[in-house]
Amino acid sequence: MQESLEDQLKDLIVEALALEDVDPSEISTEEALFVEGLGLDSIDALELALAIQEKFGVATSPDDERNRELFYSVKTLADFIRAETDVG
Amino acid sequence: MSAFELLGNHAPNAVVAFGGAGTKTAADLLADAARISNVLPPAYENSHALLFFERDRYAMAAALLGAFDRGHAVALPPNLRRDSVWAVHSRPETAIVVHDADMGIPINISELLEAGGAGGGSEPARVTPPLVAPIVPNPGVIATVFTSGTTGPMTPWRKTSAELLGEANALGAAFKVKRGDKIVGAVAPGHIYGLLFTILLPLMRGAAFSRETPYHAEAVARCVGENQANILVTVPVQLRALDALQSGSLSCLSRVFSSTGPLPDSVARAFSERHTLPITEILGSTETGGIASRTRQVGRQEEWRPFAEVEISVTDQGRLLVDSPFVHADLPRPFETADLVELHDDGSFTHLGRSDGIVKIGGRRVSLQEVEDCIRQQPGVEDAAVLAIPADGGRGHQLLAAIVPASHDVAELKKALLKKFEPTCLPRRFLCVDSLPTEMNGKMPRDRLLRLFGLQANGRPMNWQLAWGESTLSRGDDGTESLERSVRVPEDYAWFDGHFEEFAVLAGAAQLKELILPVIARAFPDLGSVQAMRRIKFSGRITPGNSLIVRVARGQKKGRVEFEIRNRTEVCSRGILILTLASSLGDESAQ
Repeated sequence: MQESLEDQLKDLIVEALALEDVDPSEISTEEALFVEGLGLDSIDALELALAIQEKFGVATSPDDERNRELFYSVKTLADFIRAETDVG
Repeated sequence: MSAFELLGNHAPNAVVAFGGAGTKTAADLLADAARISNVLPPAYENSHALLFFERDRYAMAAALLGAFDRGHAVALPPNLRRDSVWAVHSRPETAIVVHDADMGIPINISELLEAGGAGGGSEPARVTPPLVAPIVPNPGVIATVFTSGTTGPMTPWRKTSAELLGEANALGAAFKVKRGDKIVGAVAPGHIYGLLFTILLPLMRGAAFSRETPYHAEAVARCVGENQANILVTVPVQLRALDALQSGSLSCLSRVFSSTGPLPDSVARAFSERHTLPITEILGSTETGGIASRTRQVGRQEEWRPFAEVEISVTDQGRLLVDSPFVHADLPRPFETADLVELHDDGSFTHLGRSDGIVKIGGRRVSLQEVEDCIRQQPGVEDAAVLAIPADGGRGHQLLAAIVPASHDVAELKKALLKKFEPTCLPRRFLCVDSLPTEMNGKMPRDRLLRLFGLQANGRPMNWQLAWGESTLSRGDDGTESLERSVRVPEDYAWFDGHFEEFAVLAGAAQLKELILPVIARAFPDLGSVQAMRRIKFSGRITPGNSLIVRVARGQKKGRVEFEIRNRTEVCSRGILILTLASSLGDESAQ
């Protein structure tokens, strides 16, 4: 069975950011990824963008305000990737 | 032209700022700076205007010139955290805060500038006459730059006009920045590196800067492309992120600056290959000013070269000594840095790391001691140790924290740390343990701490993997079945760790569990667990890097397996194991 895009993203977050003490299943789909939620930082945002580009071929927006919204949670990222790729 | 003046190289209609928020000329800047100067309180001895800009670099430049015109120096907080800003704000020398954030306090520059001009209508008339170029700040202290992350909460570094503008001018001359150059600043203008390269240098050399500070790769590419910028001022983490861009998307650039932390070889290579652009790396610090630069490009490894104004030497301990007009006046000359270097005959040097407990994480200085102290102060923490290991990508380093007791709540601890530190400076891994590996002399050896985290002394994960090779199964005429399998034991194999300090050998238990039983399981899948061992002999040593042959054989008695491990020259171990027959539930298997 194909893993959901949300689950793929959670795996990617753990793998790309080397979060050795985090299990993908612990990551909330809706909650904030950065600082208050999972506690990711600004460097993680750049690393994650790179990993998403490599895995899904989806580039960040040229508008950083919009990037802040897109990178808010697993859900916002998944919605963005779906919209860009017409997948899932 | 004096080395210490601003806007002396711009014609009135020359562009000073560009970007999404609109183009601004030198004349605009002089008018806006006058408007700001006009609303600032009068200067007093050592008075500072605190500048806090999150959005518009042009507005910050206008505020800077306005403050200079009014006779204030400017104060730059160590980061844009509100608590840092308030800490600087509460200092007696801070006369006013000028900002473009939603802080609810004066002076919000956006409102001021929108009301004053640019807003569109011809009314009201500009009552404030513009400043007159060039702007020559007073010769004394013109800025106080705060650093954090070393001991103590914040350190103010007062910079005179000669130090700060002298350095910006020297950088501009060294890199031939000229009229008409367009600089995209991807680093915050309130950071000393951003201030020098993206505001002061262009204002002195007749160049222009981007109003916004793009962050993500595509945003950087758009800012560069739409404005046909030729210079990018960035940091290692961002250079790594720019790898996501298609080649050609930064083609109008001719120079890329990187500073604030070491640029890993892999990042430098990937970037310069993709974008066919060299990277100019800058070494310096708030207290010493710029020290040296080097160029990174494909196929060339250049060493650090000090700037023309900088004299360097090295202490007996290998620490870099720096003397230059940019070194802070209160510091001893030459100033001994914590940078460990190797000097070469041609005047260049190799940077070997730092000698203090300070590491750079994503360009931010972090004191291991300070993080450790902060953790120790949290309720419920009995003991703690913080250490840094090298990290991939542009992060530079990452921190690990081991905490006693094992039951400690890490989530609460993180929250407490976030009140004091930037998110990037928090340990990436927290490990709660019953005790720390403290030795009799009170020291905590780094390798033993690393082992707690499953890491080797070099910071890489412990290697539990053997390099297995081919296996050969054979059957003798007498019904004997045997399997031989080659295997290489890696130099960093984790089971070598810790048995004998000086002499790494593979212990018998590890040989049994990791070498012999896996081969038995492969050869005789019908066998279960070990019941007995007979005539075991360890006659040779298995040492790091050995290539071995593991042989297992059994005859009529199905549960009786003879094993032998040999290296190229000798038999290392041999013996007999009695195992249960997993396929038959009884225990008649042994005999």
